[in-house]
Amino acid sequence: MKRLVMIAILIIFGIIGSGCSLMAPKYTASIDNVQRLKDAGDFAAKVGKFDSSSERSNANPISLRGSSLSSPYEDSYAAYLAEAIKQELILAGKLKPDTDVEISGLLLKNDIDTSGFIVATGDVEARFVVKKGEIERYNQIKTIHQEWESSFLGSVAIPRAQEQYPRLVQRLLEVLYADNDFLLALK
Amino acid sequence: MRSILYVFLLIVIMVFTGCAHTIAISPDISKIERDINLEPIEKNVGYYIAPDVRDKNVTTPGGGGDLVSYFPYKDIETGFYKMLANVFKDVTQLKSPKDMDTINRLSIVYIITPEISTDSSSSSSFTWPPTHFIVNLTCNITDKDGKFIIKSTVTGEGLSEYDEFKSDFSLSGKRAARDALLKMQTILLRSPELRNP
Repeated sequence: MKRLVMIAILIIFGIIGSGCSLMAPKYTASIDNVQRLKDAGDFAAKVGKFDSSSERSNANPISLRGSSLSSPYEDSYAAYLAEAIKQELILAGKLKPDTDVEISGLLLKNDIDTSGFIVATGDVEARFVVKKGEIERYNQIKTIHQEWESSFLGSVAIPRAQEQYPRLVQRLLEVLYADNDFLLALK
Repeated sequence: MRSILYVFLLIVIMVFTGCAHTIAISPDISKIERDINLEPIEKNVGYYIAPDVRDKNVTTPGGGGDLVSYFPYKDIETGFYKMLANVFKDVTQLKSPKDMDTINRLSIVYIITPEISTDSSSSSSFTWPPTHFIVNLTCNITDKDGKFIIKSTVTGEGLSEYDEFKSDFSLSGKRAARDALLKMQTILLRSPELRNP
């Protein structure tokens, strides 16, 4: 009987988790975000340094039921955020490396919770700073929280959470670009 | 006692089979570049994807009897935008194919409506990610008044093996999407109809 229970426990653990080391998908720019930047008018910006806070909620790697999810950019989720802004500025035709308008930031919160069997959640929070030369024109924190359908099965829940990561960052940038003060600071 | 074990294992097998695993076939846009030997077309274009089409969820076969589920239009849209930006002077996402305000304001000359169909398969019975992926991409191009200009279709193919996809379950799909976009880019850049004044 003990043996049977042990086998059952091992199989259940196998279903729920997998213990793999995974990579978050590379960022894919949101066309809605790109369009928002294009519609914002005439400006050019470059992307500066994005740092990462040492808060516990700012996970790196992110734990997904025993699997670990790493960033494909310098193994850093702050670098992921910088790359995301860069991609959207490039597609909008607004990235100019020689301009004196610079967007930088600090990643404050970055985590995915897949412990629930029905719903998984993702939270990302960052401070965004815009400087023109030495003058700070914008300094605000933006936060997003998203939920999606999860599963008891790790083989479903983990890949689903993995694929959600770029969407969390897209959503965070959507919130940032919806702030007219941010867009004005870029001009 | 042994029969209980068999029943339990059968339940586990039933739970494992027939799953639809979520993947995303978004290609890496840094790898969608224009051939420097081909000149871009100096015209502004708009493209239109209807909201219900953009939200279309597709399920195709993976390995071991499992399925993969994804959003072909949502996943490929950014790469599609990048490809069009490589080909034309400027690209705009249209909210409607008859959004004449935007079409006139941005001097849009052509309206492009993409159609995407996909298929996948796997040579493995033990792993679920597809090892072979197909993306069929069609571009229907009209002028701003709806007059037919050209229609082009390409097929992109993506392959991946276990050693590659173990860290990216969507790899064959991403490769197929990229292949389709690069093939379409070449066709559009070489279409004289699009360069007519």
